[in-house]
Amino acid sequence: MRVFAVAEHRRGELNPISIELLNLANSIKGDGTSEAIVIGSDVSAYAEELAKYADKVWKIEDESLAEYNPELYVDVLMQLFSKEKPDIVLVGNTAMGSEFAPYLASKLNAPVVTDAVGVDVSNGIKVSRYIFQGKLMVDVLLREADTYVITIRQGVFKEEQEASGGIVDAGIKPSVTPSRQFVGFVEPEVGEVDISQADIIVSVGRGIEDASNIELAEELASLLGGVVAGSRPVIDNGWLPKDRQVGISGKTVKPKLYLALGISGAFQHIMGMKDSELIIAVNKDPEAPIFGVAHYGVVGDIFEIVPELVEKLREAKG
Amino acid sequence: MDIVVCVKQSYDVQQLKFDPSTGEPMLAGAPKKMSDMDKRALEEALKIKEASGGKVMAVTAGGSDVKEVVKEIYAMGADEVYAVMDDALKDADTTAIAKVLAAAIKKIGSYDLILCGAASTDGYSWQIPAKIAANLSIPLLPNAVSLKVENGKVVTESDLGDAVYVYSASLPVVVSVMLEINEPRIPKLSAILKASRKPFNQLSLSDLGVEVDAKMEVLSARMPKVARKNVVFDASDAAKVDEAISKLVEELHKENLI
Repeated sequence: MRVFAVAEHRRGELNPISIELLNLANSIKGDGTSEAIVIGSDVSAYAEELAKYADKVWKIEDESLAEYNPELYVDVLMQLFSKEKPDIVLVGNTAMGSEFAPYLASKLNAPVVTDAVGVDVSNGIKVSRYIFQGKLMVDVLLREADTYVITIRQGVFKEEQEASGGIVDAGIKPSVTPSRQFVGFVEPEVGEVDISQADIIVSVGRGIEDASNIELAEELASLLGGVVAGSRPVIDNGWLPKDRQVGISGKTVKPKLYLALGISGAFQHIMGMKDSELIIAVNKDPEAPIFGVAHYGVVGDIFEIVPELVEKLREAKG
Repeated sequence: MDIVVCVKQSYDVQQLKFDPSTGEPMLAGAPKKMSDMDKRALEEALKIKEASGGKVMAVTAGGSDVKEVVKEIYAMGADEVYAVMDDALKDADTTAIAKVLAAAIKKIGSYDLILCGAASTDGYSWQIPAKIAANLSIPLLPNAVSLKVENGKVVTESDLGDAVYVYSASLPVVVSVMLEINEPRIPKLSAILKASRKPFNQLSLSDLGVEVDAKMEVLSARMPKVARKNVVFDASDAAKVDEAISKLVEELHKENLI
């Protein structure tokens, strides 16, 4: 099979999902090929990196492709696919990928499955994904088609398979003028903390009860060398600024340690932190959904537990 | 301005129960409600109408039980509701649903702005807005956390995860909205009572000239296994706190985090 992976990059950095797509492509291609596609204004550096994991890398370069635009992306991809027929097109299940993949699939008249965590090609194309806010895993069989489009959850296919592919300039230019304009970024306000880059996060939920109790979390965070974040109710109540919000409408974080204090674990929150390396949850309610994703849980009152933990950590530090 | 809002009747996932022996969800008779982000889309449409006039129309598609969500839509204040009801739509995939919604929007005929939730409460596929836009050949401004309409142009602040992007496009456009765009109104009791008596426009697949051909088939559905160590320390009474904390600190040491 010819398995294509559409690489993703923003603000000068290759998104690791690009390599993960190729890892998957290599594992399902059989006697076919894994082929990366990278789109932008100057993509040589990305192409070289991708070539380490792909049998072939297609470069599509044009000034107008500097910023991601779904209409332009789909336009150039369709031009490539009219000559180079893919069996499967893999796209990252990022905000960008989950926007243009369905659009691309509509143009290709291809079945599309989003947010896949498993792809099995041994007997038809079978894809596993979660539904119902992660409560249910479904296996979906795709009806026979010329091409399939699948978006892949980040962080699932990490096992690397090295390759050494050639880099080819596809020689394709956009043939449309986009109807949507990119105006700019909403720049973060001065003093904002980028929690998505933190190694250790102490996160508080509704259970913190009041803004004045945030300092408890601050104290713990400073002992651990981390930052304080919060779930949506905490931000809505104005107890922490918006840039500290973890979850679907906030930031997605993957720290080494995520300490959830008084967070029940609404789906929107869990989606933003479940890939953290180590999750510790403290909550009064033993039934709280946060315990479903936590590696370690403490059932109890955060106002008893956190001061005790602070003291123990102080002792440990000496 | 004519605004069309696409609304899904989702399973109320918080209330969903699972068969403990098979791990399968008990979907028969499971409660449903208007999808959370779609509710924000409807709220946003009503706010635009209140500020600058126009008409708010809603489209929904599904089996015969979508009648219930029609009431919810009217109760919030929509002017007209179009419901495509067909049992073939109960298990239809996103390609089919988007095709049906787009066909219904074309049938309505006049639209300037199409609003929908970025993803549904139950399926979370994030596919419908882009597919509607593709079907109608108009642009999509995705994941809006704020929305402004001025002089025939729409400007959104779109949260794409790594940053908030500002996009603009001329009407007509599809805008998908995120939860934080607004706080939806809670309908008054009188509005809820009136809503159940309001007639709505019922459309069939043959009215729309759309055929539903499934591109995929669900083979199995089950509760995922939790691959976590899931060690829980009980500190529910004061006497146990000390021990629980000691164990926790020990683990933090093992993980080299302190």
